[in-house]
Amino acid sequence: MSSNSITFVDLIPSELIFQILSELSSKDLKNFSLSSKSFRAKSLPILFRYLRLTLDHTELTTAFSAFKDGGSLANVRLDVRQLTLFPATDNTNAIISSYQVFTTWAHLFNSLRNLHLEITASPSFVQLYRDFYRRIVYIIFRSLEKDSLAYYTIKEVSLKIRTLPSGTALHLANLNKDLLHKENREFLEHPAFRDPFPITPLTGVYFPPNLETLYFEYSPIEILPTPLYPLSSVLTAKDTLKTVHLNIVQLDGNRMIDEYSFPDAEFPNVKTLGIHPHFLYDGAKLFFPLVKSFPNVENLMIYIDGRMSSGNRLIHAEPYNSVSLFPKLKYLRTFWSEQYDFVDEAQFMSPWQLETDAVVKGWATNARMLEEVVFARTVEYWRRDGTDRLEAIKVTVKWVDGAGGPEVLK
Amino acid sequence: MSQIILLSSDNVEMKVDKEVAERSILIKNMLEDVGETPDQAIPIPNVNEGVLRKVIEWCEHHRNDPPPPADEDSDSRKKSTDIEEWDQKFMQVDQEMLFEIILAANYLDIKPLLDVGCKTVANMIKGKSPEEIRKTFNIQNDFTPEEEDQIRRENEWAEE
Repeated sequence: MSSNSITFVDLIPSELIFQILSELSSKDLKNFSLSSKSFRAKSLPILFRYLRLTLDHTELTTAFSAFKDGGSLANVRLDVRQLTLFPATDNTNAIISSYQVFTTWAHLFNSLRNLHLEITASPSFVQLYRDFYRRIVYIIFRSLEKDSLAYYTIKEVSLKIRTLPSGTALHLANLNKDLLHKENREFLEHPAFRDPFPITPLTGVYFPPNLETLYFEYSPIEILPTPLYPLSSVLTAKDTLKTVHLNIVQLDGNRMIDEYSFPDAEFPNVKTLGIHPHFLYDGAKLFFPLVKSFPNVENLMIYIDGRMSSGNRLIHAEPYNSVSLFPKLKYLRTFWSEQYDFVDEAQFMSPWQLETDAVVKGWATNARMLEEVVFARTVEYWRRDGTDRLEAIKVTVKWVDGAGGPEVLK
Repeated sequence: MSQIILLSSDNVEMKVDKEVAERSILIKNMLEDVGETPDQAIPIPNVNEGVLRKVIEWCEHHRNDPPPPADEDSDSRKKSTDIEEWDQKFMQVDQEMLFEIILAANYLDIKPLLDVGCKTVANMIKGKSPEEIRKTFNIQNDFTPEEEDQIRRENEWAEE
């Protein structure tokens, strides 16, 4: 027992302590938890709502041991709502063995709502084993399905697939050939790809079936030749999925969307779609397969990369039919990087340099339910909450009776 | 303006405007159930005179506040520890009184006062080192150095 006298944590009911501690930042909460045993006990359920662990064999083993029966954090494992696993290296073997640790302990966390995974590998490795990312994801969700109720409680999955930790594109010509062969051997010998995970064709669906939100970031090298992540594997959540964010950082991002990933599945209840195309060659070509997979999108967010021609394609491509391919589109938000290159040449313009009314009117000739378009300069993209701090042009579409067409108001 | 009488746990009667007392959802519901303004004192068994006076003082000052928006979802609830100036001054009391006010606000169901109370306690923790927190709440460090090391390691696993 503690020698401490009675303090407020003894006097006040737990739900009020919960309210007080919910006001604190993680740093303050950590200091609070270090001050005494009784304070720590009260802080644990909040402190460990969001776990963030490095994909490192030793660290993962230590952390998960703390949550098992008899461990120091065993009592709070049902309070864990979010688990983030992030790589500290692009060493493929380290990543594989860490994920194996995770699959061993997955049963501990039965109340997870959010699962955030980052998977990296070096470009040479992925070049040779194109199925690598899918295989890891497959292993994770299959082990959850087998061992953990979390498979059914997870509502949000964030999947960040990166060929390098930085996500930087790298040309194969720069790679060390010896490294390539060494990894090749290690891959073939690695136990992760033998029992209990035999190499079988990765067909079928395996994402959590009650998934509502999917963040998918994909930044492979630019020369990847084959299909990588078919949405059909998410079809378990065909009817529950409501929100999808696709952050495809690939030089030829629209080609990948177009040819490989999306036409194989339809998600009728997705109303919110965010896309971050690295490069927009041709608006309509990019959007066509997306419309096929997500036909009922009402709320579309587009994050324009710093490269000038991307945004230029969006706002200039005649006859503005790119986003208007979504038949039920109501709200469109476009976010423009602060670093967006505004060159003083006629062919590259930003929304701040042209008649946005005309652009919106063009879109609205096809998107007959469009209500509002926002052009915002973003400081940092890929944030869900940052919009109200941005500088923005808002264009409201006012529909005139009958087929008279849209009128645009600012 | 109709008035009602509240009776503290230590049997002190206090006359209050009905409108002021109805900042307490508990009392408001009670009065609605009764239907008419009661003549006898309403007992508030969990709250003593000193605390009840303090709570009434708060309700007097906030008698004309607009009702709080109905059950905002917790995500959009502003995670701000901003407290308006009058409330800050009001909460400059010793810790025992502060916690009594929180308990009373919880019992009497006065959500805005409860929020101010909780935020005041949170502000007493914010930006402080573990040692400063101990000093603030007058507690001893009951961890061994080994336990402290382990806690620091475990805390690394919590998302920043």
